[in-house]
Amino acid sequence: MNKFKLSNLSFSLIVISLINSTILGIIIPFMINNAKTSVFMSLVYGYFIGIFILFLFLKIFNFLPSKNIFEKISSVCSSFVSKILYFIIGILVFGMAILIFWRLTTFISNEFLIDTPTILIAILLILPIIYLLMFDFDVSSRIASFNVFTGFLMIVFNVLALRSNFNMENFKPILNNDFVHLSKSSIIFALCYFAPLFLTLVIPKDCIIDNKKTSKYLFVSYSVSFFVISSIIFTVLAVMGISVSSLYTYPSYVVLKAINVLNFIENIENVSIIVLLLFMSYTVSFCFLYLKKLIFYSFRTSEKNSVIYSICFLVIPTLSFIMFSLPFEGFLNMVDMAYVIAGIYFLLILVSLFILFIGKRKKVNY
Amino acid sequence: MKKLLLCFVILFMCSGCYNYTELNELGIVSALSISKKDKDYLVDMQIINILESGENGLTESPITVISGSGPTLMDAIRSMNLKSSKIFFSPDVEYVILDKSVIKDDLDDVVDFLARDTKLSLNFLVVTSLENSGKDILSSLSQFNISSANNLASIVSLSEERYGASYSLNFLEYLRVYLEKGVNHVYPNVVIKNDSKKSDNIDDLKESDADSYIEIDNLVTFNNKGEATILDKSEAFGYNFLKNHIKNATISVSCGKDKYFAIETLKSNFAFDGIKGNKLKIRGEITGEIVYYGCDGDVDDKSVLEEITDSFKSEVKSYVNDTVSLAKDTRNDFIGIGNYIYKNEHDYFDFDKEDWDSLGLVNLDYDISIKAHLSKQGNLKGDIK
Repeated sequence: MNKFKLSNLSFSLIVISLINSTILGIIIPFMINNAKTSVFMSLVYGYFIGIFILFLFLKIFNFLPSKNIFEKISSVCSSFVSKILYFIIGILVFGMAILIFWRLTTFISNEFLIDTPTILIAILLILPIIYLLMFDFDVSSRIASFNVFTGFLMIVFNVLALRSNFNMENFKPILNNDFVHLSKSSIIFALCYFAPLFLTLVIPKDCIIDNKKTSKYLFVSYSVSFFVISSIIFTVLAVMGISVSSLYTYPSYVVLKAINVLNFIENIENVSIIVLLLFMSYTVSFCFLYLKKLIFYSFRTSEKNSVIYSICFLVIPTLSFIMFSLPFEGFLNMVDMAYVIAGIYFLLILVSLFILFIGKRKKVNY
Repeated sequence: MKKLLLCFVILFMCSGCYNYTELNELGIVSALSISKKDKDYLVDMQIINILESGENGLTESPITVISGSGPTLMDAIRSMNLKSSKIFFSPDVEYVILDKSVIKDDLDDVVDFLARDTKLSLNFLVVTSLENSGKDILSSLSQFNISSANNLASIVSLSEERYGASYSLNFLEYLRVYLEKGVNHVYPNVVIKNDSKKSDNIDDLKESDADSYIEIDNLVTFNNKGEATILDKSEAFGYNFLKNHIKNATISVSCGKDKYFAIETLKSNFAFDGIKGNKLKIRGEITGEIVYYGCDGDVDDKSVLEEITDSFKSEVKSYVNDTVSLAKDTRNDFIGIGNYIYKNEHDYFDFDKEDWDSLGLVNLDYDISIKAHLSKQGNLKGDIK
């Protein structure tokens, strides 16, 4: 099943695409509401916690480098335990995919296509994801490259276009929140932002060409992404201030409404935000590819059948969730999505560490 | 199978003009006015008419103003569909007029409506009018711009940058001031000069001298009790200097009986510089250019130039002084001194427990220090006389 090969750069671009998926409507509102103007201190703490997460990831990634996460599980655990672990991982990753897809769909239906039925938006968004299920991670990496380069260009344009609206007084008073809120914000940030890295355990280390440099590439892409999210938060706060940005569900989108370049480039927020939507839909497609692999290893089926099973077991429940959750959208919005996503990633990290722990104890050959 | 699925995906992407809306079915809203009568909100809407100009220019009004009322703002707006066949399109709103009736009591509802609406941008201006109704202002036509909403928005921003006595308050800033502590709103006050009934007359546009026109009549601010205070020209100058809104203001300074010189500011930068004891330090630096000199003495003379610089500095200082005094006298911190203290000198005053305007601002002394430079003298070398 692992017939593809990726370069270090492609792998890094996949990582960047994945970790930027929770910016819109999940991490930024959570951090701004919790850390207030101390958000940058919280970001710095989060960066260091993220380095620890990266270190854990590399430990697991380097363990049995020729195998992906499912093969690692079956190598270190009995068939029964493997099945249980597959099930747990499947639930976690599917939950993640559904949450991000729900956020993406509700964002589009609330902000762009108010009169369009949400289910129609969901169908439109899921069709390219179904198409992607036919391919492997090498194709996925090409999409990630497109996302990252388009995304960075747009983010640079957005920041430059809003530069004239920056007001440094908006960052004051500095340190206006206590340590508990600050550390809560840092931990949730590190988990939501950097833990998606663990999804890439589905790619065996040996599928990466010249994989001795992978950790270096990962560290650079991690730092670049950190710089990107910092600049987005900086722009949001510098333009809107803490009091206004705390009001909105999507401050990183609302801030784009203030763009007015030379009095004629305005009302372009719907174009500018596409970058974050690309990252979100990419992560959903990656999760589905991950789950396709899981179906392949769980049911020991053919590759073609795993695609058909994926469509049945993933797409139909996802669309059903979107359809049946519509009346409860207001209620779901009240639940802080950042906690749920952080919880899912935390469990995913625990499961991965458990595999490493068992593997080391049994002294499974590298 | 891949090709089949690809065709299926593309089929969905090619939905084309399903459920489309033609441009002429849209009512493009260019300005709004919100007021309140008894318990009902009154909303007036200026809609752009899509029309062709006749041989000799416009023959029909480029705008239509319609009104609606209801217990909520949304209700008032949707009630307009009882008399209009258009679908209202709001992202191009240039300004919103808030009547004093809503500023006084119902600002929470209005701000909630404007901030919650997903279609509105954050760049539209917020203005008020103490003398005229919002509907009269929305109905006024302009000789300078076919879009009267665009004309008013340009007047407000140009008079801020190039004259110094106005202030273009956009909604993002309005929302920030509304939510933050220690600062109140300052609105541009829009009035219709001469006969307000004639300002919507299309025939007037054919004349070179219009009977009636729109003008920005300084600035106005409201204290916590809803009492309005008008900032006259010097106070408006002072406010804009303190807020660093001015780019090219023209300052006329007296230099004897009926004699003046005029300076155009090229650069100005003011800031609050901490509190010592009970005294707030206000620091400013201005660079200007002599654009008119009608006084005695030779400008080439260094001592005369120093005298001019001192007079210019004193004039600006008096503007700033008038503005701060007005804020203290009316117990209305429209300058944002309290906001500065909240952000930078947090221990000085407890904003959560006490009212800044009535307890903090009135007891605050201030010290203004300004540095002025005259960098240019225009085309002339010395004096023409």
